[in-house]
Formats: sequence, structure tokens, C-alpha cells
Amino acid sequence: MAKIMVVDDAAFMRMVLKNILTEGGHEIIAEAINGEDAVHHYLKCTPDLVTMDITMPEMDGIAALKELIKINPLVKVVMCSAMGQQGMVLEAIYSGAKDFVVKPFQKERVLESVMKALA
Amino acid sequence: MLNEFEVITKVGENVLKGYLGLNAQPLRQQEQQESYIGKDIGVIIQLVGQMDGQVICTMNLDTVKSLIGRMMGGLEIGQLDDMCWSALQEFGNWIVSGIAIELSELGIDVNITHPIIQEGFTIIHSRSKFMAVPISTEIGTVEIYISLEKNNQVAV
Ligand SMILES: [Mg+2]
Repeated sequence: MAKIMVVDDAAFMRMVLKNILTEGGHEIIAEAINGEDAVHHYLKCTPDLVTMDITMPEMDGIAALKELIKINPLVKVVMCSAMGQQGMVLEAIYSGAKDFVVKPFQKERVLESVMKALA
Repeated sequence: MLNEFEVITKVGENVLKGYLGLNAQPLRQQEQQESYIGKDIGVIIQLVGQMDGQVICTMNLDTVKSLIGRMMGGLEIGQLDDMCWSALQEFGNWIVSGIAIELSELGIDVNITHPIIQEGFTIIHSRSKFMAVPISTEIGTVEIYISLEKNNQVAV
């Protein structure tokens, strides 16, 4: 079981991810609605893992990922985005993301990815 | 060569059939200069980059409710609330991001904007032609309009 922060600008996606992760036995300790909010909450609660959307207002998920890596080079971030172009996936992985889950996703895909990142 | 009809049917089937488990059947495509959207609710998303344009996914209210219900894992939807609007925006996001992924595989780089919800009868006026692709399902027809133009980056 891990303490997880869910980052997504869409309330619906935060709800879906919360349900999937809670059913998978994890605890959601924070939610953020954009990259800036994610960095702010990360500093306060240091979760074991972060799920990160990409397309968000203010600061996008790739920029937020880079900020989190600066704060903690070992941070575990799983990208969850519909923008699954090869270039975007590679940029996220090169920037330090542990995995990339393309929306819309099946529950099993998310849980498997989180388990892999935590291992 | 970009075939918008093929791209939309592929992405539409991927989301509606592959993910939501609906029996999705693309119907004929129609090209129109000016589009009259008679359906109740739509999601509008812009594409910007090496090609510019917009995509509108539009449906009747009952179809919207059934679609959102499915997205929420089989809920019965009465009144549309903020969570429902967020779900519908996300549906548009999945479709248009899917289109962006298909375009990237053709070497065309595009980004997408935040979804906007449209309610009620709408007429779209555009410089470029809209193509309409209706996809029929057991919960009603999801109509996808697309208008895409090469961005020649003409100096203003
Ligand atoms: Mg987003």
C-alpha cells in the first residue's frame, strides 16, 4: 500500500483514479489540479508516488515532473495522459517518469504501472 | 496522405468500442461548408500546431447521459452536474488526443486546447470545410465534426 498524490485538472479523472487506486489498496493523501498545485502539495505531504496528467493550465505535467525531480531525484511519477504521442511519452520518460499510461485506461493497467514504479 | 474519415473512425471505435464496450458503427461521411449541429450537447476542442482546426463531438441528451453513466462504471445519470460536465470534457479529450496521436504518426505535430461544452442548436461558420462522421451506437449516435487545415504560418 502506498501514499499517492493524484494530479489532474479534470475532476472526473481525479475521481476515477482515486477509485481505482483506493480499490487497489492505496491511500490518496493529496489531489492537485495543475503542476504548480502539485509541487506545492508534494512539498507538504511527500507522497510515495504521484500520478501526473500532462495537459493542465498554469503548469503542465511535464514541467511539474521536472520540478519534482529537482526537489527529489528519486521521486516516483507515473504519467496518466491522453496525449500519448511517441514524442510525448519519450520526453516524459527521459525527464524521469517511471511509466506512461495512456487515457482512457483500464483499471488493471494503472495498478500494474503503480506497482511497477513502487517496486 | 491524411484521411480524416479513417482517423476519426479509428479513434472513435477505439474509445467507444474498445474502451466503453459499445457497438460502434461509423456511418457515412458528409462534407459541408457550413455545419448545422442539431444535437443537444457537444464538446469543442481546438487543434493547434502543424495543422490547425477543431473537433466537435455532439450528441443528444439521452446519449450524453448514457455515455457518462458508462464512463462512471454503470451509473444511472439524472441531472447533469459538474462531475458529469467534467466527464464529458474528458470524453472529448480522449477523442481529440487520439486524433493528435494518429496525426503524430503521420509526422504532423499538433497540440490540443481545453475542451469547451456547447449546449443547444449551433451553426458553425468556418473558412474551411467541416467533415461530419456519425458513429452509431446502442445508446444513440455520436457525431464527430472535424475541420483541419495545414498551418502555413503566414505572417500577419
Ligand atoms: Mg488534463
